[in-house]
Amino acid sequence: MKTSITIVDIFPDLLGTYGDGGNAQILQKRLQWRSFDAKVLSVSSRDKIPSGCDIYCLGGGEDAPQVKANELLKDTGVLESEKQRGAVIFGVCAGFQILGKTFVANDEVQEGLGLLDVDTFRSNKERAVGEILLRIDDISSSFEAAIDKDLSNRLTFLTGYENHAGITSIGLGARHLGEVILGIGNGVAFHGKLVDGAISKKVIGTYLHGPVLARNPEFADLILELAVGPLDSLGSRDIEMRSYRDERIQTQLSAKRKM
Amino acid sequence: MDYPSRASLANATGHLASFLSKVGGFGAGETIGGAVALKVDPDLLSKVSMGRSIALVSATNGKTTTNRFLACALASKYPSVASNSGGANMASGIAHALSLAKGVDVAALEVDESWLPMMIENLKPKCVLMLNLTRDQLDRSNEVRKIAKKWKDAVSLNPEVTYIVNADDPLVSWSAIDAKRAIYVAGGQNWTLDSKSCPNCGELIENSADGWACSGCNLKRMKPDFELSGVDGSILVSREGEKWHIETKLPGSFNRSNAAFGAVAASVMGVPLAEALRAIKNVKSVGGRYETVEFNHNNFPLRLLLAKNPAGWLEALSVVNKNNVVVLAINAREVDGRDPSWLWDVDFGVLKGAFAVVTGERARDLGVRLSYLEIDHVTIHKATDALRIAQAQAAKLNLDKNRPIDVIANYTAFQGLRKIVKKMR
Repeated sequence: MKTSITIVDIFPDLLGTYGDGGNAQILQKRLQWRSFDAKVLSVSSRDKIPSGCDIYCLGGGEDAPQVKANELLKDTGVLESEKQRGAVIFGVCAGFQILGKTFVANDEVQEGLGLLDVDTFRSNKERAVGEILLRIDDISSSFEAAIDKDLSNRLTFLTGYENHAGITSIGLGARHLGEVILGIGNGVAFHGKLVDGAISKKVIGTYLHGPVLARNPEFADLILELAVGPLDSLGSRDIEMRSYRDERIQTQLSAKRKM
Repeated sequence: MDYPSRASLANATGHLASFLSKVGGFGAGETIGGAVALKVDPDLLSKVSMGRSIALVSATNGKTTTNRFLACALASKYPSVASNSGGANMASGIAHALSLAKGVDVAALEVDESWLPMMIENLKPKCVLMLNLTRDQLDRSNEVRKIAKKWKDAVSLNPEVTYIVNADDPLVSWSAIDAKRAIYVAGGQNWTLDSKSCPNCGELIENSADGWACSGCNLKRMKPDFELSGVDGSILVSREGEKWHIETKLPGSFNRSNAAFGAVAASVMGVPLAEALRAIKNVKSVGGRYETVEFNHNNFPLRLLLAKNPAGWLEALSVVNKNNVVVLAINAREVDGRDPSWLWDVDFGVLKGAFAVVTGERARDLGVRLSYLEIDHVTIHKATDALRIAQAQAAKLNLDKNRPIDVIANYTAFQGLRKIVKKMR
């Protein structure tokens, strides 16, 4: 098993509005606690994104920075070839939209990277702002890679917060991440269900920010397992993270009951 | 000052509502009083502002403190100054502050960022202080650039006002671009994550010895009329080279910057700069912020710091005693912003070596944040217990009993802590 892992935090200066840079730090720590040699490369928009790394993270951002980030990424073409090579690419909110085929920003349709078969439109309803809870059903079947069955079984909910004006429709070449129990997510039905996010190969997009991996330690491990294979449990290191996850899920479920 | 009759009725009704709110124990009466009065007379704001010389203070951070500095500076010359010193900074709170102060010609008012355009329009102020714009409560305001754009539109519609602008903040500088009379103060901006790309054209903003400049268009830092220089920015220097010493009892370079803005605004309102700074020197705490208080008598005192958003936490963490016990309190109620994900924007890594007691309704969010940084901490949901445990831990570590334990809290957590501390001196 590979023990030296590089996580790239893409353009934190443009795509870092909701603390999403935390996702890369969380992935790194969870590897280090398992004795991996893990490092995070924070690549600013002035610098070149290296190829050959293991995990690439993109966060949320406002319209203008999102458009700028998308242009820079299209120019380099690095994420397209990294997807083919089998790297894990994880995009949140604006980052999720960039990974898709098209999105709307600055009142114009923008051509994204096309790594996920999704198109994002501008919602004419109110912005989707608030707590979001997803039910996850057998996540391991979404990936060709081997996911530890136990981890897949434990990943039953994803809890987060969303803040976006996008409606994202999934095409034939991708599947969703989870079913929306509370909140809006992609904002359009997919196979008759309200869903959030999209998955294609090892490319994952979601509207859950927060950073989503802080609230969802199993989801962090899922992303890691896609990159490095099965991992041991973190045991007592994860007690605080799991209480946090449970607290958020319970709060969301009781909010749901009151609705 | 006499108001037209509808305004008088509105005022009277507003005062009654305010009185009822106070005796009923619902609040300080500032917001409800103004809200009722505005209902009775929607034009109340322009009526109560007539004939007055008004300064507005707006920013993401530092508006209450700067407004207090300004009001104190103005009070050194004018017998009476109208001010919303309680921090009620939307239309209703402002209407209330002005209608209470009958016959007072001068006003210093803090204004919520998103209300500033409406207040400029209605109050026709003499000067407007624009200190900084950074991310805050994104669940409500969504994008900080939208506020900057609203400010910009308000400035172009009201170019005759004197704008006092932070030259170091690209978003603020951009919003003031159409001002005919602008005074630029290099007030500093340590938080740069919201202005990496240009608000005008979206290209990258570059930093050099001359300050920030857009790589794609003409937007760049204006040559400041006033700068802070010297060790920790304690000397105010004008473009002509005249110098003043800034002294404040409040900690941190950001408060010296707030003092500079307050003094420059006071000089626009007719108070000489030196006199303004002399008055500002006497401000000890602002609505409980920076106050050192007793708790659990004869125990370690507590110093209360308010920080509401990433830029505010950056400043607050810069003044805490690092090799000490600190208390960090986080809520996520409506006025705090429902989404505490910004905790991940704050570099809590500077607390390495400290012991943190984490409390508040969203203590776990912060606890997990600290865990991933491997910073020693305990999570104690109940604030009273958290303060006691912090004191016990400080005693265990044999820390100096004269040095206060720093307590940093966001808005409603801060209010809660103040209540507890008042009860248990």
